[in-house]
Amino acid sequence: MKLIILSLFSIFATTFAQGPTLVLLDNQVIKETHSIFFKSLQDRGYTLTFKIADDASLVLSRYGEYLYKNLIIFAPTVEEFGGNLNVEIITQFVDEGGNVLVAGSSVTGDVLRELASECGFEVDDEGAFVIDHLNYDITDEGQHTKLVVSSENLIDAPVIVGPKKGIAPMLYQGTGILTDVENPLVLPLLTADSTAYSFNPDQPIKEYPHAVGRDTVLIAGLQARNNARVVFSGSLAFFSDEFFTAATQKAQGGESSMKSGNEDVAITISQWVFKEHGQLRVRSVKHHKEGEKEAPKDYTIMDDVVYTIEIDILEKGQWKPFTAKDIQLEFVRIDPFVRTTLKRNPSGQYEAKFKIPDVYGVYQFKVDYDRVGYTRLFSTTQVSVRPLQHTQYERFITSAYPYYTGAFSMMLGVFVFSFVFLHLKDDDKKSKSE
Amino acid sequence: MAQITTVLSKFYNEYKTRTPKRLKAIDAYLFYILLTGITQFIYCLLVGTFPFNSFLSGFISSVSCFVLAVCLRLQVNPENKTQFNGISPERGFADFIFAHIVLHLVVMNFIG
Amino acid sequence: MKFSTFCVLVLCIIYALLQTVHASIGGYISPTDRNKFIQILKKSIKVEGDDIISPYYGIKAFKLLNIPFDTKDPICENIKKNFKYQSIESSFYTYSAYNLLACHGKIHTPEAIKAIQSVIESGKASISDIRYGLEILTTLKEQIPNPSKIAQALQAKLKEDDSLQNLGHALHAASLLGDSGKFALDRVEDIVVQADEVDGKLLQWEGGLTTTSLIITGLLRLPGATPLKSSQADKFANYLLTRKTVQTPKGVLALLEAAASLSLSTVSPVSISIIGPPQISAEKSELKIQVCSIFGVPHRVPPTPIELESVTKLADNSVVLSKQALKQGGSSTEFVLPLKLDPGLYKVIINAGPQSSDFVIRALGSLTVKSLEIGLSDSDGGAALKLTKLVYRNKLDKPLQADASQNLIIKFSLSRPVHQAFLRLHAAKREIIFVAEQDSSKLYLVEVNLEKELSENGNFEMELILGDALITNPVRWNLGNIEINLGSHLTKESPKALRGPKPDIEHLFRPAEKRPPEAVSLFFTGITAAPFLILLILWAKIGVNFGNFTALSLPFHVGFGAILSLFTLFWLKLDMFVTCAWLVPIGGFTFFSGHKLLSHLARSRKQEKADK
Repeated sequence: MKLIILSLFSIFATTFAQGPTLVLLDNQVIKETHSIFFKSLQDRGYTLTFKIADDASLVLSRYGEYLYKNLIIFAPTVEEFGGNLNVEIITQFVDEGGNVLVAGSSVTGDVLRELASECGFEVDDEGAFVIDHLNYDITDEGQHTKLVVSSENLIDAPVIVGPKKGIAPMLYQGTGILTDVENPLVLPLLTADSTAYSFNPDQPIKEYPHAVGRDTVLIAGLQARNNARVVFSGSLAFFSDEFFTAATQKAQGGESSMKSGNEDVAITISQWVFKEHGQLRVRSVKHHKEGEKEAPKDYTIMDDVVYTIEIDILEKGQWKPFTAKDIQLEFVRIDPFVRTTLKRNPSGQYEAKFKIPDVYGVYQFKVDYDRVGYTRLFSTTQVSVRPLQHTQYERFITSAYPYYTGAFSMMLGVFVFSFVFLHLKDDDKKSKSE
Repeated sequence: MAQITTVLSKFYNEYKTRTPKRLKAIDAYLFYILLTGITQFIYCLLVGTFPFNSFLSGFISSVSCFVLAVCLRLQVNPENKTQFNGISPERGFADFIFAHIVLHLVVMNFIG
Repeated sequence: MKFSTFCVLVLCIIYALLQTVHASIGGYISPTDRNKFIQILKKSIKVEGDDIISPYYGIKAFKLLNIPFDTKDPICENIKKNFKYQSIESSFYTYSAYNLLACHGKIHTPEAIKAIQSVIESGKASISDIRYGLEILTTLKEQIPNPSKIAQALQAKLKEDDSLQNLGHALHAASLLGDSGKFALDRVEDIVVQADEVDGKLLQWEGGLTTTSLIITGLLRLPGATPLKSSQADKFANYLLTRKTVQTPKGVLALLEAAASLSLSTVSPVSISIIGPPQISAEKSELKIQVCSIFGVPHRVPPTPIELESVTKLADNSVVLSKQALKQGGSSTEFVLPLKLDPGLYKVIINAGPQSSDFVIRALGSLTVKSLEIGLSDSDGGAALKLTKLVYRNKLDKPLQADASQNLIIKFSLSRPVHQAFLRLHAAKREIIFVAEQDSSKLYLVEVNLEKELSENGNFEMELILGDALITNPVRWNLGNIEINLGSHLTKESPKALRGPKPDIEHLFRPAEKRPPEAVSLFFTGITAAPFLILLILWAKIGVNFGNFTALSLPFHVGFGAILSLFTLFWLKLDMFVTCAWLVPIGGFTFFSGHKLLSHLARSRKQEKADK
């Protein structure tokens, strides 16, 4: 019996492990030149399956079920994916919750360019590098394409790239990406400096470059509405062992460091894109009138209501209570009537207390937490709010005392009158005699 | 002007001498109800209709009592005997009491 | 006949000439690489713990790198203490490590040697076991029993399974078997053909660094074999150079063994590389060339002469320099070529004996801004331009004042053309960048139609950015400020903040109805109660009496009073159902008693009338 339980538990545990990942490469050498990155993934529990990108046996799903949870494409020059893999299948994979990490380079093939544009990123043409004549490393080969990028250019979201302070400058050599500023789902994870531009270094600039200045995105990320995550890096070399272990030194003077920040940032980005970080879920929702414990069948207007919600975040494979100061609760009929910030009480739950509005109807308790880097948390609970029962109105109002007095006075009056009337003895005068 | 005063004083004297005590008692009762209703109405005009149901209840209580008392006076007045052939004054009083019971039940329910 | 022989002769000469010009490799194991390896290897050499296999990697690698051991006794002690037979392979590592360190005494026993000899002779051992057994016997200078029988066992095992690993070990084993090992020479070509070429530049065998190293060292160890052509050796060397970032001691040893055996072979790749960045400038007007083996050390037979073949300018393919000898530099592998070139890209071909290599170098120059003019003009081109001249590094003392009808114009000329000539307008977080165009007279011009390009008012800083791959001094020049007033018809909203909390909403409840002050209510309560007193007074004045009082009326009054009290209770706390329930009995009682009373009154009235 114990053996059965143990084996069931181990199966359960493996299904909760980080997940099978398919890694597509241009050639086998990439597996060895990027060994530190792959080893870090395997150490964290990912099972990596390495395949060449045009291998004819590639398959993402079988009998309607996906074989992999994550996809890494380190094959910038691939012309066409092998097997039954293509841009449409990969987009469908993302639509159904799969996460994708893609790395391009200056010779990015059209297939990856098409995949990137499906996700909202525009990759520069073939042959283009991100050039920065003021921020290149001293080991650059002369075209000023091996850039030293300061950690200030990272997005302000520690859950995706880690804390900005304390990250050494990073090395980057690759192509430039443009993202649409209006698209709320796209995140520029790493951008270039104001003096950078993305162009073919061997061609003179006769037209406006694809990306200029701070609009040049080096690593772009996307969190889709179903919370699937995609990261597109314009540089495969960013993830290489060489860049991970290199020292950085700006040729035109400036900051230098013994070890680049590439390894730290690459590992943190991989933790984000494969959903190890920034995953939220609602554990429980409770609501009740103040003073009671259970939720009533319906609420009455102007009741004092208490709403409690417990939110968890995934940390190292375990769901731990989440801490934030800006989770809001909305009480919505069609427009929000009430919006308050939930307060965290010592037991880890978030609580809000408020008075239900004096308008009756069908309402929803809505918690919609959508912050950069975190999965979108959306919880809605429907309740009905009824008007006052006819017995719930205020009675014995001071300003109505005169009316009460009047009514009772009438009652007393008629009682006394009946006394008087019944027993009154009339004088027997004949009126006509007068 | 002088004609109005003579008419009024004649009316007053006739009233004093010729009206039976019974009717005078009802008249006093009517006057009392009138005053009560007027004070309630003036109060409402002054402070607003806040508990409207209480105002209506109290005021209509006064008005209805006035109407019922007027009906009683009419029925009990010996000079109207021919009008109410077959209905004795006692019957009038019984109706009066019955109507009052219904009225006060309703007033108590509505006054809040 | 003569013509065809002539053609053949020409072809032969051309072929021979081609053969004299070999390519080479461009990298080697540099001192920085050696340091990184030493750091990794140090971790494997332990003085405690029961892992006695990893120290072999470190010790052998240190020997290859010629690094002495200062304290070897603790290591020896540890190995001796923890030695335990696990397999022939592990024994090989341990015995070799002990041997390489020249530790005192021995840890192997004659019985162990006999056991190894019998195992490898038996024909049942695997190829790697046979190999490691032979290695142990050779290292410890023991006799190898029956080499031909072992050779046959090897061949038999290869027939069963000739994977690359087995082939590699077989090569090593064959090289230790003397004449009996000659069978392996037949296999050489087959093994070399199985190598994979990547990108036309690298050669490796499937299985990565350890397999490739095993096979290379095996091939080059076979006596009497010339397994590799120098072009193949170069490609293998290129592969090894890409693996310099290997992180494990075992990997480092594999890399170093392969590099060392290539370096000592007849096809040792010649590494010709430029020391430092491949560029020259006015300050550094010489190129330093490094000619060495892949191991970073001079060749056994250094190639000579080391000379410059030619320098060709890429822009117009003109040869600017040819056939110049290089001077010896600081070390035996370093050579110096002084060069003074105009800024541009050049192809430099260096010969080292029969090997040659070409590089693209950049000759850098510095950039000077010869002149710059900046100002505003009307966008319809009507009014004359008013431009201010600026000297490099100065900025405008007053900001330019521009409105929607004007263009910003900047004209400048430079000492040489540049790739990047941008104008950057920035204010707080926003920046807009414009590209300068060069016209036929080499003058750069930026013209910005302010109304079309900008969508908001404000005070912008103007910055000129000049950059190129061939200049040593990229320029970021703050030109001054410009105030732009586009008028009020712009519709620019502030950029949406990154998702964040929305403002709190508190519901405004309908205000409670105004109530009069308590005093007023109580006052009017009094006034409403007052008429009752007036009633009593009036009745007294009229002279009411209770002349017709009968005891019969009491039940009625009690009943009626009870009904009215019930109604008061109903107002105070009862509900309609209870009230009506009570009303039925009380009302009934009141009805009957009232009926009785009234009938009595009616009768007595009729009596009175009849009496009259």
